[in-house]
Amino acid sequence: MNVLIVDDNEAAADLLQELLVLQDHKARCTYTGQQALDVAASEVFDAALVDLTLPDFPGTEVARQLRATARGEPPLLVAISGYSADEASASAGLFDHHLQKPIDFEVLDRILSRAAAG
Amino acid sequence: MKASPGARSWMAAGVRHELLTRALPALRHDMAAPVSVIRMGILLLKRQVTAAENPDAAAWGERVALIENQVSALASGVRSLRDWELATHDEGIKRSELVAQCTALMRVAFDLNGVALHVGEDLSPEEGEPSFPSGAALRYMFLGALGYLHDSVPHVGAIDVEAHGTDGLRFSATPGEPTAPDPVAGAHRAPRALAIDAIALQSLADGLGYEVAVEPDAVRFALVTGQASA
Repeated sequence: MNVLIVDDNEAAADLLQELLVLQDHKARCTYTGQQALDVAASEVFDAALVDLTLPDFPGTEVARQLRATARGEPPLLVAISGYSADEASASAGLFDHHLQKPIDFEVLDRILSRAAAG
Repeated sequence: MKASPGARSWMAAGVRHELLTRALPALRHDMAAPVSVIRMGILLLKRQVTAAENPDAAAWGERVALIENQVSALASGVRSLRDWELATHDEGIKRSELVAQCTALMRVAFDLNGVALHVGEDLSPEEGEPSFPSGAALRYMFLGALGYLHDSVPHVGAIDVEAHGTDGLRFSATPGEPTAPDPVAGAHRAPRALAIDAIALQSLADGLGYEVAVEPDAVRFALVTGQASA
């Protein structure tokens, strides 16, 4: 899968990218909402992992725009939440999955594998 | 029925609990972030060690250094939990440190709710700045003032924090544009049913021994117990 990572914690985003590549995915890191939207404008992604708290605008807004501007099938949207469990229920319907920080990579891997298998 | 001193103490404790509840998401976030990096870093090392035909010692050293750095950040986060224990003896806190700590902690939650936190230049760190005792109590007072203005001023757009004399703080709210509530942003604060109103803030101050002046859109208090903020 081609995966877009959106997280302002650069160390976490970079490690996640390396792990995804080791699992034979393609992955692209972005550290702000705007960067993510700019990259998504020129590249098609199968999945997007979006931190809900970004420095420029909320992760929910990134998700809405990724859905709205998708060419063809919208990407699988996975929210990464570091603040409150209530964030997950508040943004239910917008994201396909929610992961709480600290991320369990095995869980993420299963989500992506299932999506890739169709 | 008039509240007994015991009941007033319980009320103050309840307000402190509410404020700590509001700070917890940020405290938890500050610890969850390094744990994420540590877990992924270790997992990556394990996979690379298993798969490596030609070990890259320099790259592994870099990875271990990153993990060590995140362990330090996590340890610092765990230690910072003691900052909220009233019973713990502390070394006091400088006014600029208090402002920097509390605004850094709450800035994301306020931003998400469309409230900017502005800190006056007169609260920058200074050479020889005095420390004030009871840092934990002062943190609760600071959060109480922010919480009161957030909850009590309609459509608040910004809160300014300024020095008040040499040993006090003044908080003032200015209105912003009314906006529809964002449910995700709402998840970053405690339910409005437990709003910090003037009575709650006064109870907090009484319980901690500080004099507080509460106005409809401003709060000020001295950082020393039992001293009125002129």
